[in-house]
Amino acid sequence: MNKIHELKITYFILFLILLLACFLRFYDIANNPPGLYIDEASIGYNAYKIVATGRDEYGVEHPLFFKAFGEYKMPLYIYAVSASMKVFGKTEFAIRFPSALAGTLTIFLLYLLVKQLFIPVKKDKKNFLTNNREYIALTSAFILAISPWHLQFSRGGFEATLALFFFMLGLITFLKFKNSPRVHTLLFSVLFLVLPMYTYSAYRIITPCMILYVMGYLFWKKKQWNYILMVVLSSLLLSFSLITFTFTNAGQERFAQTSAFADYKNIPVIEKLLVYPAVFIKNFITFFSIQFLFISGDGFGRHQVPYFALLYIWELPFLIIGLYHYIKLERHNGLLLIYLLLISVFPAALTQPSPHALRFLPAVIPITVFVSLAIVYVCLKKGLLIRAILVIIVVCACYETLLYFHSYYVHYPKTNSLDWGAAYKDTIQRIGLYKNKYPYIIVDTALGNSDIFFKFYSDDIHPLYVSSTWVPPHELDKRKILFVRNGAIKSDGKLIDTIYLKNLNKDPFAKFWIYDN
Amino acid sequence: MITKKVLLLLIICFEVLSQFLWRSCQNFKFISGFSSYDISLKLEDTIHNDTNMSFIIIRFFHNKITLTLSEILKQYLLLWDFRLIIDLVSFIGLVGVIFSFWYIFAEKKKTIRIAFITLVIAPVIIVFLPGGAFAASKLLLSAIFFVLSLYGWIRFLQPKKISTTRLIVLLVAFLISFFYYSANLDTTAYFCLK
Repeated sequence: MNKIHELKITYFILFLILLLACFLRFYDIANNPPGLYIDEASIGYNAYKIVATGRDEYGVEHPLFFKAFGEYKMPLYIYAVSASMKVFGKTEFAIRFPSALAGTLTIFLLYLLVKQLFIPVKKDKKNFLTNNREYIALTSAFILAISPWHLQFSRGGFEATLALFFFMLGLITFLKFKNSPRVHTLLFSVLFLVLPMYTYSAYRIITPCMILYVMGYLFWKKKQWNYILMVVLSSLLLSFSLITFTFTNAGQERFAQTSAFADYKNIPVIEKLLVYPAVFIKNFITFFSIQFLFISGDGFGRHQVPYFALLYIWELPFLIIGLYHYIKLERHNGLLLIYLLLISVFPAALTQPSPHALRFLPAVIPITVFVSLAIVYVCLKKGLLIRAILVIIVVCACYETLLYFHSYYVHYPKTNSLDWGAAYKDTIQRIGLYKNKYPYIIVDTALGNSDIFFKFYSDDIHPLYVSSTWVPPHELDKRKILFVRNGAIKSDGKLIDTIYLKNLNKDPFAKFWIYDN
Repeated sequence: MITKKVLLLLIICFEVLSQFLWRSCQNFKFISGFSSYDISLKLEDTIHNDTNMSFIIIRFFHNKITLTLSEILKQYLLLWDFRLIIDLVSFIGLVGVIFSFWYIFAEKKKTIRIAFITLVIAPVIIVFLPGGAFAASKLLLSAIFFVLSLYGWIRFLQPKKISTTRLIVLLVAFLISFFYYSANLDTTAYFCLK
């Protein structure tokens, strides 16, 4: 009876945590972040075209890889958005829904992962982790639910969040196989580990590293060559199209754009042997810097809230304690979380800029578990001094967490509207009001990559994109021109409207000019 | 025993040589110390985004007390950034500092534990030093990291017979230190303001 009662309490607490996570991730998701950023607009437009015509924006029927801006996006998130658009229509909510849903469910998966991870290998080999895995699992779920890092990317249309969800499924099924070996569990594990490769590019390196870990486990612990062969063949089969694509020019485009070694392409080979490792090592270390993790993040306005970073400052002492105890207790058990942390950095360190919070997202899982096990460890410690310190930390933690929520839900839509494309939607909708009177819509290219926003927000506005120095040609009736740019125009123009950013200064974003003569 | 002394000497050489990265530096970058003027500016910046909100909520979240404590803490934590430690005592020194944190958990001697805690807290002095005290700040930080690193490496090399794993760790640490400085990259410290 006691066990059933404990189980009910556990599930009730888990339910409350998931409810909190759901609320934090879905509340006002269409308006915060404010507007779609360029990749979201591209994903949304391609998803809409798939729903409407079965083809992408370039007319390719149900493509496996979407050309987009030439970097070739992975398909799974776009198809997930297509499914979402069938229910919610062509909206910002539909673009972000798969990410928010995956983010919420990842919390439940983390609970399951921790429970699987700390199952005692042998009944007489119990330790702190195995004895308290229920507490650690619940704490991990809660910490991830309120994590600034995970929350930031769950609320935007980021493929990495969906990829992490699949990756977690792969880890859980692998751990399930470890604890009770069955062929179909192993195959499902491979499937779920391969799916992230079709969701986000970083997993083209992370997944093979994880498959290597699985093979290593099968070799060292089980010595079962049939299982190893099964893993190799199934992973090759599932990723065959991706492997062949990777060896094409299109497939290498993304790496060429973001490679950390791009500046050193033309140096002699001997020098490359020194420079490449040096660049990689320098990038690798930046991902563990205090400035990146706890103080200011990676500097991208879309990746964190101003004055906050990826983790709360109160998590730092728990991270140190958790790392120590995890390594001490699990060093003969494969140290899966340490391996996961290291392989999360690997693809991110090969690219620029470094550090990069989005590419490093898989690391949120091991870091959350380290923090959680330390919290449980400290809470179970007896002693007046420790209890006093714990109370102080809890008060500071509550304050910092509430301050983060206040900053995110109240300040962020105003302070970071330029990092997202909020003003593009307003601009395009305003153009819609003028287009009957001014059929020639001219847009200055200095407004940024506005083309994709026009494609997403409007079916019938097809502007002409020009440079800032454009002058209307004689054959064009000047009275029918609407010139949209973020500055003044040189000839006889009249300002009829302005779109302002929603920031404190209400800076102008786009000005609407007509020609009087 | 002689080998251990030679290894420690090599480690000390690496750590001392890293001081050459700072030869053209005038001050720390990113580390500005505590400034009440900065606090006031930040407060103004954050309060203006709270339009149409209750005064109690605004003051609860945005006040000089919590902002001051937060800034002091952030400036202090910045002094423990891995890149700064590498700049001051090299990558080998960073590994030694990490080892010192590892071994302090198992340290039985109370005096060493107290000394460790003192060294960890000491950098907070730098947060309150005036902007012109760059040389003193650098010296204090370098000394703290040097001592911590030495403790870490001495404990790491303590066993009578050094295992293969430990040798590999040592070799990798030396190799990474070598690669970190050998390539034709910018050879000034990351936290160096010229």
